[in-house]
Amino acid sequence: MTRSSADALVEALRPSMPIQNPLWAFVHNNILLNLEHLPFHEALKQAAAWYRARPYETEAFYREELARGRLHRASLEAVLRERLPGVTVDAFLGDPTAGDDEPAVRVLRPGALDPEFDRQLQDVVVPVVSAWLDQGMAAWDNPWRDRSVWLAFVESVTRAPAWLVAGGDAVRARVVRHLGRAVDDVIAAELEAVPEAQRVDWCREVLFSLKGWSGMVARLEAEPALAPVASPPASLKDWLAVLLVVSHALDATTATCAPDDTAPGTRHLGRLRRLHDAYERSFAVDLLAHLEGHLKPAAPTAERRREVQALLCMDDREESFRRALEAQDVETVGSVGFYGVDMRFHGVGQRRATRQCPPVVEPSRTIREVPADGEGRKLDRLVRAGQTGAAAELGVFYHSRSLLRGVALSLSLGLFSFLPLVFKLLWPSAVTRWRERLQRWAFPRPRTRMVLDEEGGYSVDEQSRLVESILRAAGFDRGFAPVFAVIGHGSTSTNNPFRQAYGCGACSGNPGAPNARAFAQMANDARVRARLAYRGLVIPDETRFVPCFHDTSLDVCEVLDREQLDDAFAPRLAGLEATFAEACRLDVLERCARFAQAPATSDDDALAQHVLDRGHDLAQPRPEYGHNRVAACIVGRRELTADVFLDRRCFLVSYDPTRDDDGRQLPGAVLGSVPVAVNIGMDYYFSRVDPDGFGAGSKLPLNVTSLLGVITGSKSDLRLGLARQMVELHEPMRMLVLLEASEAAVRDLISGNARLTRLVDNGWMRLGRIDPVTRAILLRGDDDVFRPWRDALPEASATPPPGKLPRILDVAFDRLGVAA
Amino acid sequence: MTALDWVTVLAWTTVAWAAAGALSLGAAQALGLALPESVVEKGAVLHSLAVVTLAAGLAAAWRAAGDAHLAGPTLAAAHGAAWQLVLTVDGKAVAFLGLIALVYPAIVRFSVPSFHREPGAQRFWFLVSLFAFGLVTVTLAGNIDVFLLGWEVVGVTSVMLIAYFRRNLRSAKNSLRALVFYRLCDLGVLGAAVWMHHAFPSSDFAHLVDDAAIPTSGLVAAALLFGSLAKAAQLPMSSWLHRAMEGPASSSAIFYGALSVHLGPYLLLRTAPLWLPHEGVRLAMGLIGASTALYAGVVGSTRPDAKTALAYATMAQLGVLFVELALGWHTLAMVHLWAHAGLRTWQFLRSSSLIQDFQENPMVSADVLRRRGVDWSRWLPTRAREWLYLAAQRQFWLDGMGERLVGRPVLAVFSWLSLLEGPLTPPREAPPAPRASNEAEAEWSP
Repeated sequence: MTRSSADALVEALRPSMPIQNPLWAFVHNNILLNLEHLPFHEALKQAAAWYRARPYETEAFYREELARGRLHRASLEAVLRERLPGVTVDAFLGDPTAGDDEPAVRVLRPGALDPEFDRQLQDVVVPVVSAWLDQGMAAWDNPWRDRSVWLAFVESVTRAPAWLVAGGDAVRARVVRHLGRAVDDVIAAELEAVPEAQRVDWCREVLFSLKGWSGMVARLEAEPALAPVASPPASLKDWLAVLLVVSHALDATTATCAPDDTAPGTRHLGRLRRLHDAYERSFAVDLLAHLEGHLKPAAPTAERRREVQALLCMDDREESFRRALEAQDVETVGSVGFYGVDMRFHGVGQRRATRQCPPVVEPSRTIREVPADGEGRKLDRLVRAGQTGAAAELGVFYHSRSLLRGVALSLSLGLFSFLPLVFKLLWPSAVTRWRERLQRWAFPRPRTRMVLDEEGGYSVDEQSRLVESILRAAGFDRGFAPVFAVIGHGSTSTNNPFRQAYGCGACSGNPGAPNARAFAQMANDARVRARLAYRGLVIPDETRFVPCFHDTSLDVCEVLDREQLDDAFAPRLAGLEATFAEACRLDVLERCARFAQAPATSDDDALAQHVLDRGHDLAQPRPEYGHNRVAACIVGRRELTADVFLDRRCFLVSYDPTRDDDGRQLPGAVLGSVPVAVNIGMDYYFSRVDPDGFGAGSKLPLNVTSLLGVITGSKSDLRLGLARQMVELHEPMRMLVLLEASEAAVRDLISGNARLTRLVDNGWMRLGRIDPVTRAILLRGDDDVFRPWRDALPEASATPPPGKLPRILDVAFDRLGVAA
Repeated sequence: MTALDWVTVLAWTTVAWAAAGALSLGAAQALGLALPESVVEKGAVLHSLAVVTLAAGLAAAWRAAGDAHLAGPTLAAAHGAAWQLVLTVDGKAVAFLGLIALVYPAIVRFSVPSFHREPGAQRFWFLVSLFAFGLVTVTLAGNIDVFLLGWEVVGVTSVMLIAYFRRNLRSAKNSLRALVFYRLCDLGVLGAAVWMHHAFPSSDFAHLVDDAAIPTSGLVAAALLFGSLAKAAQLPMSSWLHRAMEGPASSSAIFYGALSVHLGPYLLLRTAPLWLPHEGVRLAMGLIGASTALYAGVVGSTRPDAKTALAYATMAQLGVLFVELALGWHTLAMVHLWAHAGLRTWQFLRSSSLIQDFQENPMVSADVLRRRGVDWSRWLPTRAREWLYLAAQRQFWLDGMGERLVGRPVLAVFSWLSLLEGPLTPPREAPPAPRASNEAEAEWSP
């Protein structure tokens, strides 16, 4: 094998590596992004073999859902009729081999399925790679951090006195043979015995025996800037050499006891695929019947003047909040929560800029936050205090873990650590509140503003276009209320390595507050408004855009930048805050129905306190339920779903086709939202169907490593995906996407975007549309024809009983009952 | 009632109450009874709160009455040896009981939300209440027999909680490793107990001052020192501690941050009158402590993961505690023990916050991190520094040696014993029926 062929091998392997960012920069991704060119079920089969994981729920799960009535027998019948003609439901359920037409995938290496092999591999390799990638957890800087992982590995194995190395003898002997060779030659030598045609698969199997670490190495090689501090020179080729040498050495010594060489997750795929299709289909039947039952005939609604309008993120967690606001006569619209402001944001006192746009968009600008006039000294004091505190915190972190300084620190600080231990556990949110109050008293926060239009920022023209595109896509070109709230969202959680997974997905997991502030600042700017008026979008002088922030775990919604509004506006602000308080109260009530440990009381204050404590509780693995249960994405007018209870299961993006004759706004509404929705849905899907193979397992034994990710217990592979507690209520399904648009517009949109084409054609989501004129719901079939949904899903019953919630939206029907 | 009566009543009630909690959950476990989660949690909270109340009452009574030696019923007597239940309430016992009363309820409070819907949570609650019983017994023990009872209970619960995630192969193997070291060192405590019954007038701790004059007391002191090594993870019995980080965060905190590891120093504090006159034992104690502290300090500074780094940091401070004990600074040692237990409990419970902490810290950047920690290594030549780093990264190969020199031989002996036993027991006709269990063995699927 020559140098270039080793490179070619690595290039062939690279796309199959799991996409896993360091948890600092966690974003929801379709873990199989690089397999989207395959049909969904094919890709799942592939992934099951690679990840050695289960790509669907278990048969027992689907059977229980069938018995419970969540999976309709009629839907299973319909799926069988289409896919397995001649097999009845009873025959299918009675015969465990019926429909089992998918051969299981075999692994190449005998050790690949042996947990004992994995354990030994981890013992040899994980200490080396975790120390080499370490971003600052260990006090002692790794001497090899600037050199290759291969070198770090060779040194760690060969420098040990031979008589001391128990068990590692075989590895050492094998490494010694390669001393002095270049990495390419090592790979070539290790692969000599492997047939040419099998080499890629062989190497992939070896890399996937430590899939998390392999993914991290590949990711840091592709994007070194993702490293929280500084990435070592990561190279998948060096890493492959390490794993080949160790695996082959262990293969030779471990007597494997795995009798079977089929990947366990790939057995019975044929059956599971049908059951899964029926499971998704049952959901579609129930949801579409529910939506249809509430659709009103399109009639020009009387223009009614409201006091408050609100722009919110499309996020499914805001669905309930929007209902709560609407109950108080607030008009709401949903947009992708970065509100078009595709920036990196550098806040005052922050170490680095955060990415404030979806992962599918590249930030175009960096926007700074600066103190308002005359607040500079206050800011300096605050920043200096922050740095002193931060340096002290780092000092305590390292010194308390060292020997002599550890003695001094434990004797001096140790007794005081009982105070936070007791108080933080007993009164989680109150302790945080006191601390923040004290900090604000000692070092008041300065008022700040964002510098939008300086060099490298948004010009006034760009600002006006940005504001226009968001407002027009949401159907706003008239009828502005005096108060227009722009609500960003984020989530508070404590002691949670996955914090970024709870943030605003459209802001790459960061809180959306800076985007709301930037958007409001733009839309309030007189120069911007003048340009908008010139283009026919007249915003009355009286209308003020008010940036707000909704914390989805604490359920608190606050007004930001209030000093930028004049005093005459104060009464309206007070009204807005009262509205928010009431909406949060309603939202808490709804969410607590799914928190089994919430106090059994109907006292609103107690429940609000419980929700507040969840976000601040060190011990709480479920500060909120995130995107659990999300399953659909509706792009269209809010009228379609107004007054419809959707149980936080839908992304809602506002788009008004009647004000968009040329279809120019549709891509803006869909391209930023639907791919994000699919990413989130797939991330939850995989972590839910196999919490161990695709997900991070239980949160309890997780152990933060190298500041990059988490391992299980004392030593393990770097864990992928989400923890089990984060997805326990999720119903794993592909996203059902409904666009309110004409067929031509939908087809233009899909064919104009490569990723959407792949997602639709290969069945990574189910596409439907709602006709803007007739309001008929149509579903796209596999033959690319849109049919009325009752034709596409003929098992749907005539009409659902009115006034009764379908089971998919009824908390009393949850699989994981509240009483459990 | 006099103050002494109060001490008597409260001390026995504390032990009995601690046992009652463990027994009732244990009965449910034995019968395979799946109790509702909220019932178990409420029971555990009640158990821990009552322990706090009783401990506070006992401390108050002790302040009024002074040290007390409480003789209980004799369980068995044969050939002049008696096994009697005896409790001691003195400053050391009250101080350690106070630590238990602070940490145990905190861990219970932490575990209520974190074990919500966790498969096997009832097993955790049983083991943690059993652990509390073991701790209370060890703390209040007035003779070596009662002490040994609690000591064994603590060891067993520790091993069972390392293997809490029993489908994980590594958890199972690592708990076995801990078991081997525990059992080996328990031979020290057991040997000391046997010899005390044989050669000393009594196994009571109250007589230790007089016992120290008996010629063979040096041997007993050495056996007790050996017995304390595994629990406190001192060299050469230390290679299990970093492997014990398999369990849930709350059990790591209470066992290896706070209470279980500090029982080693507590055993030495409790038996101090016996070994203090023996210079050789004190010298060995000091040397073991010092070398463990150095070893764990160096190894810990290379650990890139939160929990094993804390395990080594704890081990280093325990080494320092051994040195303090050997030097006779026992008040300092008690204060150090308390403070250290608090610090580590807090750090273990917060160990999942580190990504968040570093993300928010404005001082985290490459140059700040390069200036961190280990300055002394700069004085070493490059080659020596690299070698030391690699050696520390591999725990100076003690882990492998521990397996070869301790783990395998001990297991081999037991395998051999079971082979010997084979012919003595009648052959089994059928495999035993699966025991009733309240946990679904199936894969997790709510």
